[in-house]
Amino acid sequence: MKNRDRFLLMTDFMTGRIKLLVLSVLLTICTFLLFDMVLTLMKEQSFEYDTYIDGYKSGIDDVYKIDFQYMNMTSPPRILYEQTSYMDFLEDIRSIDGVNFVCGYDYSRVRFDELSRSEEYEYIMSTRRVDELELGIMSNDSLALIVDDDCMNYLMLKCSDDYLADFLSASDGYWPVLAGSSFSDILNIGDILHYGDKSCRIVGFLDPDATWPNNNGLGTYFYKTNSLNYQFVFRSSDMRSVRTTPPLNALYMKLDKSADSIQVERQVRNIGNEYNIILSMVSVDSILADSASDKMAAEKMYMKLLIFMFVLCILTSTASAVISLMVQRKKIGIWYASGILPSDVQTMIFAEQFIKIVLSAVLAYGIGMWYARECSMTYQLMHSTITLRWFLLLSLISYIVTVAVPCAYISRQHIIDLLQVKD
Amino acid sequence: MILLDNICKTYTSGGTETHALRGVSLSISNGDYIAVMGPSGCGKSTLLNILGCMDSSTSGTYVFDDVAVHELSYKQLHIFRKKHISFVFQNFALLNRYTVFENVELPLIAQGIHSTERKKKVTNTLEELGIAELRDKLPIHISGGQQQRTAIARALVSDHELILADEPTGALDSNTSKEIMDVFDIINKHGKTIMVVTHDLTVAKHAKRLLRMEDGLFLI
Repeated sequence: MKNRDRFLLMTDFMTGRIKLLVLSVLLTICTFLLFDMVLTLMKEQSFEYDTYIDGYKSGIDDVYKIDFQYMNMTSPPRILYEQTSYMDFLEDIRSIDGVNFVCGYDYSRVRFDELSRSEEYEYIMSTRRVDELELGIMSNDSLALIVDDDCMNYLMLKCSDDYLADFLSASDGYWPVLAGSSFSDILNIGDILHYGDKSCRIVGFLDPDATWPNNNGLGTYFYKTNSLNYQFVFRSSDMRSVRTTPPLNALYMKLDKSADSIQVERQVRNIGNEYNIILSMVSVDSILADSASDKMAAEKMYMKLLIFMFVLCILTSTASAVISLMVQRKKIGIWYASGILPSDVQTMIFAEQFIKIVLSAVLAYGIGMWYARECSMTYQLMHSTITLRWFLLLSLISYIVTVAVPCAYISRQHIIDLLQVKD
Repeated sequence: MILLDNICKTYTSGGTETHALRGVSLSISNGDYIAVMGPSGCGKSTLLNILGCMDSSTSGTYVFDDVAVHELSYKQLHIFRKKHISFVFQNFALLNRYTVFENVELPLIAQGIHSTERKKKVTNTLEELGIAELRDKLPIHISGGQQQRTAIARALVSDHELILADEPTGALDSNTSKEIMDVFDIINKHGKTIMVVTHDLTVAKHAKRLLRMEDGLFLI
């Protein structure tokens, strides 16, 4: 058979049941896409754990500072994650009194208190610096852990005097306040507020559409500040007021290895008693072990899901290929009777499945890339390098199976049986 | 020249054996015109299928122009059939999405014949069978007799030595049946070897030789 004729017959073979073919491609795309999404979550989760563990082991300075740059702005811009990701803030904190101190959730994030009117929301500063740290203080209490100036001194910790000075000078000794947009009708910039025992000055209002990034868990959330009716009140020394919020209710205060652990433990216990919270000492090793264990559990779970998706992809594409073939049995029988050989039909199956799998894989991967770019901060960086290999593997195996099964099926079909199939 | 010697065909289903052919022997010369008659289940279609390489015998020898067909593999049977044998079926076996022209053209495509030559051959064949004006019609838009003529044209176009027809008039009325059998007569006069399986004695009378089968054997 000539190539042109083979092509024409193949076109007829494919378009003979065009609706079924389209449905089959759509199904395959869907399953490939689900596979890609599971892969996304798995890789992202794995990446998170790896980041923590690497941070614990090697130590990284990487501060995501998202709030203070707005303090002196009269009209704060829309808050974007990118704008505020690389401010170096904790340098000062960890260089005081020879005691290196970093506090944060999971050793990588610091949550600073905000004074909210009714609900206790939080924003995040992320930091990773654990190389010199051995011990930590952990609270699993859902209540806030307030570390005031006395506590800081007690633990030989203190905050940036420079920042404190900057803020105080910028606001005449009052705490600078960024009020939520809903307060713009009743407050003006420069207004003095008395908030408990604190005196604050309004230095700006959040934009009505301002969003607040919260890198919480796997994804990055953006709170709408207007809908949450935020009021932010900050003072430099408030940075020492750190609290945990359920369900992320752990706080680590990491101490230099030179610190006297017995003394610190006693002090920690005193703080716990004073503020009626449960505090316990943990070691970096135990946290590393916990992280590794958590990582393994998460990966195991995702791997099961991934294998399931993998099998589902192959089953779906294979089943649709066989069904497509079954509805054309009569035609194939007539082809055989007219002299078309089984090998010609198999070539058509090869070509059709190739087109189908490549089309499905490219579209699903493209949608996956789009999803990664739009919805995931970390995944987009690794999508093309890590998932591509998986995707190629899935496509290759799908192709082999979706060719092998229909070819085996059609080779078992007797020409007499094929001719007897009713239209 | 075709020689069948002691051909047996046994089907096994659920442990039960059915002997469709019980040692059939037959010699067919070039240009022969044979009709096979017999009751349903006597084995005549099985014989036709074996002759047409659509099925293989359980035992016996089948020689077609010095080729031992019974020794051919499944793939080789396909290739042999493609080169030597054409079929006409009771239900026409036309592809409804193809035009009359495309249906007739199909065996030539399978043989890898160039499109210009294909067009010429198909046109000639359609004219010979008096259906040239139907070339662009779909099978569902023409009569049963015209469909069978299309099927015959498809069998003729590749110029094979042997044409096998399984109840070619089974789905046609008597007038149309006669027309179709007249076509077969003409084809035979052109030197083609034809074997027709039929229930209809009127049809069978067109053949030069009439063979009767019963219980998988020819009646003497």
